[in-house]
Amino acid sequence: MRKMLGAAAILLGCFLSAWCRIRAGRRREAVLLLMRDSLTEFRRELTDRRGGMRDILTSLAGRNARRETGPFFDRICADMDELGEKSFSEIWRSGVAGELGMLGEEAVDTVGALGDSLGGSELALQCEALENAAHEMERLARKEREALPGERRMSFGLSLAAGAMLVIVLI
Amino acid sequence: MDSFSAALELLPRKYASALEPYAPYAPEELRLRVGRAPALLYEGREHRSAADKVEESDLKRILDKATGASLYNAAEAMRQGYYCTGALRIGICGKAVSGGIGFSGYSSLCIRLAHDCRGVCRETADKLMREGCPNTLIVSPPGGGKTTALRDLIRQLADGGVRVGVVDERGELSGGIFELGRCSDVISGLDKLSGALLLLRSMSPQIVAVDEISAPEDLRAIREISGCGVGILATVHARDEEDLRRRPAYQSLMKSGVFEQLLFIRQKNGIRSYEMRECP
Repeated sequence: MRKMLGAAAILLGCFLSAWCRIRAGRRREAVLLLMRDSLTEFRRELTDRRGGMRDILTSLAGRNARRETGPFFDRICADMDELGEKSFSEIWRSGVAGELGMLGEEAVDTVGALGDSLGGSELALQCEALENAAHEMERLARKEREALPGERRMSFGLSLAAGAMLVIVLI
Repeated sequence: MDSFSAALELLPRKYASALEPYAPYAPEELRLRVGRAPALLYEGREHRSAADKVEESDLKRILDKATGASLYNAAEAMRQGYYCTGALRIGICGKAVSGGIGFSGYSSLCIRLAHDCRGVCRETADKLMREGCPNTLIVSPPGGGKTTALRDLIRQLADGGVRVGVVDERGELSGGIFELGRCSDVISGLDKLSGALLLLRSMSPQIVAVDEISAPEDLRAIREISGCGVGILATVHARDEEDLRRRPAYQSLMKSGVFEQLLFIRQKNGIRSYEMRECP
């Protein structure tokens, strides 16, 4: 009976680990879409209202307050006090590395590179960079969504197979 | 906060702490050039500081701090080659792009510190008031103290009861910290012509004051104001009268007889003197 319980626990553990991986994928897709929306909003604020960078970031932080992108905008807003010691590009990049790691390497590189354009003198270049980055977020989210069914099958299959083998070996 | 402290606030700490001891010299400018130690202009010449050499990334940090990382909102000022913030005017050099509204790299910054030299133009102001505020053009080379003189003249006249309308296009005259006298009305953020016309319509000034007339639009503004029955106080870049006549843009202005008085500012060993002459 104890062996059966142990086997069930191992299988459950493997199932849970697969489920967590799938969930992380879904979460990444959702955050990529949130990021896409935030970057689109960012671009709109720049072109329509031409507000100062701090105002735009504060407004984005407010809108993202209960979302997973909220801590990123909060951190950039807070770190704006370090301007002078750090350039905006440095502040942006460290915010991306610290708060958006869950998005994956490609997305982190894309959003991080925005720091080199934002805050500069040419508005058109910044808008273009934001638009490109928003498209890239959408592409990565789509990629994540399309990969999900296959990943789900593979994760569950591999986890359950590994669990089953472990059960056989241990029993 | 004085303008030197305001300038130090913009700098990374390593430079601010190295430059702080120079405060008693009342520097007029900070010069930051890539690959060289920061220099300060006082007593009529540049003095190199003992601070670390400046790197291009430092210039970017300073500009980000000065503009709140919103350089895109200063495109118009950038086209003139400088950005004003409070009592500071930051001149920018580097690789210009898009016809000068932006830079893809920075090579040097000149942070000019506005000074509030109260009373330097008291005699001139007294003379102007005695003579019924004739149109006066303040003349000196760049960095000669025109804006400081104009600021003091405005204050002296406005405190003497003359209604002075000030078109402070880029906020340099008031600088957000300078008092311009009890009878002054200041409009900023508008070009000279629009600002002057607005003042004429709404504030009935006795004198309109504008800083740095150089572009054709500025000259047009002066002509427009001169026909409105108010006095004009303005500043212009030139070494002397000859210099003034050499610039084609000013030739017609001088010929038109708009200005009745010229106030020359001369500088020797860091000490300025003021000489008033009738416009020939």
